[in-house]
Amino acid sequence: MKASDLRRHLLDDELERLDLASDRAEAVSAFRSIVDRLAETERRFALDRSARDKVAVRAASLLQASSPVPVSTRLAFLKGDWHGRAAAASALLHEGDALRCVGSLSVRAWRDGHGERRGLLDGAEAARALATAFREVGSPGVLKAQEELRGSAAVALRHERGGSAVWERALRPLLREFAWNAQGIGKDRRDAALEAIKASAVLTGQARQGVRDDLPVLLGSAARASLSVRRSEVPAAPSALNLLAEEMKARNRLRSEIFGVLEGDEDRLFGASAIGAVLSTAIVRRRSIRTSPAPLLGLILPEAWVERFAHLTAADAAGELERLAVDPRLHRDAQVAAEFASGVVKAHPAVVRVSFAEALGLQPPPLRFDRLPIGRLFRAAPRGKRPARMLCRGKNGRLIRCRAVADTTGAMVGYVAFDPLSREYGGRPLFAAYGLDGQRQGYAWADETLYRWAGVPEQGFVSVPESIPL
Amino acid sequence: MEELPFISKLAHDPVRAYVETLLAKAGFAHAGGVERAEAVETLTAEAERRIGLELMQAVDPHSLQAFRQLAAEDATEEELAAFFDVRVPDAEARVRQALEAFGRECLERATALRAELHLS
Repeated sequence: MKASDLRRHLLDDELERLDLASDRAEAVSAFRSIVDRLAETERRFALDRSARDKVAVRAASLLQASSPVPVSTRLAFLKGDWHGRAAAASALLHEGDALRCVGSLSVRAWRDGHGERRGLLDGAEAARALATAFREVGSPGVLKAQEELRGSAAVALRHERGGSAVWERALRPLLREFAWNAQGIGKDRRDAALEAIKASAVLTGQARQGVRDDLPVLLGSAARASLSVRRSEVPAAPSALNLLAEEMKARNRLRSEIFGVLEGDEDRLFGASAIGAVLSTAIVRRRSIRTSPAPLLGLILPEAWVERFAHLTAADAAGELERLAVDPRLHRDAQVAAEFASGVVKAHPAVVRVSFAEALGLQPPPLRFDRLPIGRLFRAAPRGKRPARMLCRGKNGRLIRCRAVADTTGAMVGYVAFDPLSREYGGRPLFAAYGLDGQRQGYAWADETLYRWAGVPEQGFVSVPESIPL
Repeated sequence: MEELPFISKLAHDPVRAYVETLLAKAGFAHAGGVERAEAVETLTAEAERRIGLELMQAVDPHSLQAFRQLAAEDATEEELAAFFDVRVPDAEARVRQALEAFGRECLERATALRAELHLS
């Protein structure tokens, strides 16, 4: 038997082992055997033990996606000649150009020995492989691409402004690589761009764990912005919530066709009327509550809750009560009371301005004061009907809106002041937090639940001062 | 399977409150605002429809005719309450049963959907 025939025969054994591999360890082991044989065959590809392990592990990682196609037919690493195999393994080892590496591994696997295309790689699998490779080794390429940015693209990248064209320009070096791969599997450039954006969005999380490399963060943000633009063009996939609602609707429609005797929307009217008739307590009480809610609510609300929520704005108190209404640790009576009080408070026409006590006509307890804590804060209305909102001058004379905040016990703890230019320059709307002495003590994000953090945000304050006059 | 929510008679809108709690139990407590509002709207309507469909089985055709007439005449809440008191035996128990059946179905489907979409 010739040496080449012997090698082919030995390789067939390894490929069979790989196809039969039931777990990752077996796949890595099979790959390792192939790499050993490769190192013996290609003299220029002499590898030490750790390098061989690395190639095997990375090749096995790229094969983790399940597919009906046998693994041995999916990779050029296994299917090509020894020379091509060495090139693919080299790409795996050196992590230099992940996209070309994936291209050599997956796309060429679908061409036979004469270079004829035998079929298309599954799109999802290709995207997963690309994303995996990009996630693994994409950062250096991204950084290099970022360094090459000039002009408006660089500015836009730093400030998250501008349209999709700018982002596309920013991503062009990466798109080119993705397009190269996409064409090989029969996808158009647009699909490739979307895959590139998806992959680069993954970098955001990774980069946040890093130390100094903030460029991937910027690119990830850019990708998110571009993705949202794309989403407006492409119909979004229905969410689980929408699917659930549609499914319940379809089931009722079917029931109506089988059992229904009423026409049109009459079945719903019948149900709604029945609810109003048999569960009408709330409707009757609601009417009486609107004129004089305090006696009833005073009875059903625990005293500690009145103490805690009295000076919060009705809206924030209602939100917290809604949370309590589904808190499994509470007694059912307390849950019902929370739900009821929340419903009554939310019906107030000025729910974001008045205090909880004012909305319910309760006698407010005396104000309590405390130090500004790190943690959850609530908007407060210590003056009852009017929000404790005030205007003060910030940097360069810019007007700043401040309002009082309370802690989780309902004590007044300070103020938050909106930084009007924060979104312009930093990307996120920002509050500066001030203690009762008017000194700045940390910050809170304005686009999420009010939560005070210590220190200065990474994006920095733009217009709020160090202290506010009280 | 999560325990079904309590049907509160104290809520302003008992069915909406029930649906809201149901979604929280189904794992959609943090769903987006607009999307959640739309889903609550749809599911509340479907819960009402489901109750209507269930109660229909308990009344005779003449009573349904009478209900149509009441609805056409824009009857008051008291008149409707009287209709259900007289014409629908065990109306409250049936309403509760229907709502609970709807809730159970919702939770089952939500669990299945979350598994299908690999959300849990």
